[in-house]
Amino acid sequence: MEIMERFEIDVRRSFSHFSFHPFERRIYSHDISVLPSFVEKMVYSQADVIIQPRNVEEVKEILRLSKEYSKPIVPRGAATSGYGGVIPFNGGIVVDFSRMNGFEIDEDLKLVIAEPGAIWWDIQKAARKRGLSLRIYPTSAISSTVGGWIGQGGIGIGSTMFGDIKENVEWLRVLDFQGEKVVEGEDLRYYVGMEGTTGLIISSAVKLMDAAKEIPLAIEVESVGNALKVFGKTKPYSAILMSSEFFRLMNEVKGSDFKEKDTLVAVYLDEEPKIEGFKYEEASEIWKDRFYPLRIKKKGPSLVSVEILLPFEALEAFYGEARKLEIQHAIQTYFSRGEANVIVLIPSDEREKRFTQDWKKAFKLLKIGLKLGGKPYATGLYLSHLSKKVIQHFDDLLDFKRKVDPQNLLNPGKIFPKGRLPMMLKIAGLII
Amino acid sequence: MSEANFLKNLSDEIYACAQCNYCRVCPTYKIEKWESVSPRGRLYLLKLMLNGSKIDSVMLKDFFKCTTCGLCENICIVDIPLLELWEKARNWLTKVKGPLPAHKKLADNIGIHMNIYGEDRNLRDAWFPDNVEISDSETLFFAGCTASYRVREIAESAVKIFSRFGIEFNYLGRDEVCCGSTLIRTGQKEKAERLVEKNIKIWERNGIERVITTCAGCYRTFALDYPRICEERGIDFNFEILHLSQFIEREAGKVIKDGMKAKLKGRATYHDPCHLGRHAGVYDEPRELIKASGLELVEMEHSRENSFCCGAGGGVRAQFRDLSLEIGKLRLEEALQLNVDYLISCCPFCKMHLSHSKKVSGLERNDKPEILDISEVVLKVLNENGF
Repeated sequence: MEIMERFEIDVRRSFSHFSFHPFERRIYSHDISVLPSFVEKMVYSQADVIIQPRNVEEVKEILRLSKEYSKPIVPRGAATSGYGGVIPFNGGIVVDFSRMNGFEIDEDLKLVIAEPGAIWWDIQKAARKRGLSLRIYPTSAISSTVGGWIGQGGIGIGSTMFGDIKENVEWLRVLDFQGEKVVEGEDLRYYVGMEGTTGLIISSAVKLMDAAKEIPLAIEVESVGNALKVFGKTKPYSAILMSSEFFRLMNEVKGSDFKEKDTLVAVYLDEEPKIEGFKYEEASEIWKDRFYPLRIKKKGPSLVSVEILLPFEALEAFYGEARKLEIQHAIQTYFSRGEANVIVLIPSDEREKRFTQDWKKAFKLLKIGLKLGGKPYATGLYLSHLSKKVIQHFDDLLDFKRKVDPQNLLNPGKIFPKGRLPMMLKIAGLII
Repeated sequence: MSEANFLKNLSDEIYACAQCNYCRVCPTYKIEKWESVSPRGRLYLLKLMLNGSKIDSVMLKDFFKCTTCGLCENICIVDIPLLELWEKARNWLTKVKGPLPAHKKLADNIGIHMNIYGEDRNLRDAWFPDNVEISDSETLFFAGCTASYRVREIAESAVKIFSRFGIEFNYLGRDEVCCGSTLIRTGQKEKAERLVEKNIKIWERNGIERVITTCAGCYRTFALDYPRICEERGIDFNFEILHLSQFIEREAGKVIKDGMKAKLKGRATYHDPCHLGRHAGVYDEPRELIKASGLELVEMEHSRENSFCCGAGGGVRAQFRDLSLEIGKLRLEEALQLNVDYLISCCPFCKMHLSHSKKVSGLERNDKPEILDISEVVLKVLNENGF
């Protein structure tokens, strides 16, 4: 019997929720990114099977099958990221955690203990009922999963006060080929932001805070430096700088009437700071829209984007360069502690030739960001050739990866470059 | 129209999908949990087809598992007109691949018996009470297939309400013809168009100017689809279309609120039928009538624009019965959490389906909540007052 046949029989015997259907495999083999077609041809492949485990025992069985048949494992949350982290470019098993979506709130310890498929906003709604709240959450919280964001890492709403997701994880339970582990403290760096390359997160304890009244304020700012000065004087829970172009595009697609000025939106908890001019009546409306930056995709209908983590001192120069782009674009900057995530969104059209040109401009911005001391928000699959340069303690992480996953079956090609693809993508980046 | 041409016309909408997955609210996705049935999955399927992929029978079925409730459109961040898109795509897929078996059966039933259930046309008016008079009024009561054959208490309550308030109305009895809603929703628009013409001719022949219905599906079809189809076909459409809740609230809401001293007791929640609420924007009148009856109205987690489908629409109940009942159970659970005495809706199809969902949930007929239609609530309060 062929190996694939035996594999299929084993899957059918072990799981109740799986799919070998070609279209289902296709659907679960992409994320939200859309790349120029010649790049997509390089990276897109198809999973062998999609499995939706219901419990830890089934995740263990997936690991067993992976080892026995040398099938890569690609964990998947809501696939709302765009770095190719969930793309099974070597085929294998896509593990969709949507059926492991339970969570419990520990009111005494102010923690949520969540399965990987739990949705951030479902947690927030439940936490609110108990007088608690998430400290941080991604702007995609309405649909994105706990496992997905911890796996990718990063900053979000609330990071101005509470830092990145790693700082908000108390502990993780992970599974790898050796078994189950509880990870906490410094060791979290081996898993948070590692895209499931070192183990599968099966449970996470994420820190909560007492629920507080959110007071969004907004002020027009003349420069990024001005924005930093304004929010630096206070202690906002969250601070986002939105460019005039962002509001222009939002007004066009939404029919809203936001002032088309660079605007700092800062959110305070319980107490409103007393700063002159810092109270723009549309702040609440802008704050409500925090989950919908992708609305401007309607202008496209496609969107090209680049996300760069920059030190505060590099922001002014980066904005200057971005504004030299002779192209319609919007910028949103999310401030964390000491660094900011700058997102440049370019409405485009994947059906037209200009799509490749727009990607070229996005890559140019990425290079400028790197020169200014920044790093990509994530490396995933597409930017794994940059990992060694931009990820702290990369060699240590690589040693760890080799130790826990000697066959490189855990989401291969993500974070840690594999084969010729990273070089091809690097070249593609130079071409487009 | 060829595949390429049809899909090209929808290309802007198909490419606009941000794949954000906010449409995970989809009732079908909540039950099945496979992206092929989710709105973003279906849009991705259309995108693949636009680029040359062929749909197979499994995917075709998945595409039709949508109840056309429109919740995805409500949440879509790029404002894709998804309801219209699903209907156009279903219409096209049906032309290319033929209707799904249960949907074909619906069309056959209508073709032969003029109702979706394949029941004897001569029994369409069997529910009509003896002591209620029909006049040649320009106001027509349109009972619809479900209230005529399956949930007759709704049609009966409606005409009794008219009678009690002395409202003259016409009723076509055995000449009443299915509105065509199910055909439009299941991709068989061309067959529905014949019903549009038929109904309009009958109405004109009877001097009808205003049509009142208790059915949310009929209402949506008459109020939104008929004018559009008539425009496409160059037919005049000059009828006022009202749902019973609108009509009663307008004509008698104040009397019920202030004039009826004996009030109903208990706690109730209101299920917005997708066709009446999200599709047609009728939210307040049924709620006003519930409050006027004296019942305490509490809202479910999903209400008004965010209301959750009962699971029956879009041909799902006909073709995918188990799935539709699972969705119905989810809706019922929301009501159960509120510990209400009554779950009230404004649609015979919703009432029938929620009642079946209650049964398969293991709840007894007498267990709370009692599932009622707004017409029954209004009649109850009239009865309480000897009106």
